[in-house]
Amino acid sequence: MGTVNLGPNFIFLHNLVIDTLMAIPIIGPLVFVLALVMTGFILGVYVAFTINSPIALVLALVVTMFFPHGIIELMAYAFSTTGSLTLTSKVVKSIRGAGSVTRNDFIMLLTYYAISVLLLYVAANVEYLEIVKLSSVIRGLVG
Amino acid sequence: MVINIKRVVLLYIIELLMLVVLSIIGFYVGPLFISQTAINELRSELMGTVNLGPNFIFLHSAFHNRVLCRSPVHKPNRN
Repeated sequence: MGTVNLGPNFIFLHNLVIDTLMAIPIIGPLVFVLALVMTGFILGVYVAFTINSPIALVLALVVTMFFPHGIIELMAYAFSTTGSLTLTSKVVKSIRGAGSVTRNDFIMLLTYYAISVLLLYVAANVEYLEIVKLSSVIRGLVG
Repeated sequence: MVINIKRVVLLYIIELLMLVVLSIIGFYVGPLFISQTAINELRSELMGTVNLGPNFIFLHSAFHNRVLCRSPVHKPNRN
């Protein structure tokens, strides 16, 4: 993948694609689960092959989930998926004849999505700063 | 129309739990399904990312502009 394109904008655009897919009603929640499965599972396999220590797995999880960029990024995905889930439930209800999807529901989805995009942009810049500042540490860990 | 922060926080907690459970599954079961080669590719990609510097970008761009753009296969179409 184009390493030369890497930068906060590259990180942001990469995450934005995933975030946008998550915000789409009906398929969004599935994308959310798939993205988490890929991230969590691959992280576990990677640690098993490279360091093969449960302590390293705990450290990797802490970095992924509780570093500043991780907190903001996961929160952004939570926002877009919440919007998507809410509209999905409205759509299901309207199909069953128990309600209808209104203009306000779409505005609600867009509001959730806008907040998530804003958070993702902040997360991308924080992640880029972390990569730049901690590049020597990452190099040492990756091997 | 109200933003439901409770739902967002609930989903965030679900995210964290899923990441923990799936990484544990990946750690113990994953090597049976995924080859070492795939992980090595991932590692080299990671290394490439952290080794990035201005010289690398300059050399890549110079190579692209001076070599690839003049090759009949890669050069941009200027019709």
